[in-house]
Amino acid sequence: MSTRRTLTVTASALLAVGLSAAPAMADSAEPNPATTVTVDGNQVTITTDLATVQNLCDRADHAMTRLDLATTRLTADATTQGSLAWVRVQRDQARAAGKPAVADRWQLALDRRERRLPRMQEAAENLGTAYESVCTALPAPGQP
Amino acid sequence: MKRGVTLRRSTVVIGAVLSLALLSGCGRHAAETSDVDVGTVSSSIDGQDGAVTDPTQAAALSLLVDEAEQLADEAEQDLASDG
Repeated sequence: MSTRRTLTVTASALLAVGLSAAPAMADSAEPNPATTVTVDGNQVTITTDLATVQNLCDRADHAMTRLDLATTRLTADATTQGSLAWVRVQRDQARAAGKPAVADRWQLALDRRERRLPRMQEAAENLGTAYESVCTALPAPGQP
Repeated sequence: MKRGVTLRRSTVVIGAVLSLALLSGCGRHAAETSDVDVGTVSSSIDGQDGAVTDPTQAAALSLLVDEAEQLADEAEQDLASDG
């Protein structure tokens, strides 16, 4: 029991510090990331400010939109500037034109984007799951 | 506005791990956030409360948002470099 309580209080203190590092958004009401904890037998209750989580949800929504736009562009066909297919065309054209240095630069860009794309997709999926489990349960800002 | 959320012990442990990740400055690292088990965290939601203001969930969300914003920044800058 004492170990559990110590762990709980420690976790809460760490959470308070961790959450206080989250940047505040200007369009929500006065987030206060401080937390409180109460222990009642086997039940631990941690309380935080709703506006803090609403701010995180606003950021999550915006971040998912940005990732979706970038992913759509990267996975488009060769007619879309910046897509993986488009970069391959640029690389191949540079090679065909006898410009190996230029082709190498396009290859580096291609490698970089191919590495980043699955990370973006995974991040968007994870964030979407968290958004569904947390943000959809919240009342809208200003609502009780 | 403050609302209480009842947590299970396992969630508290998860919260401690997440907090340590935040404190150690690893919150923006992809490998750290990919370890977050959102499903386990969400299982601790107190359905009677009506709103999820559990700070352990907020910590998980914060890590995921940080990662997503960083990746979006990188991707947008990279795409802009094409001219």
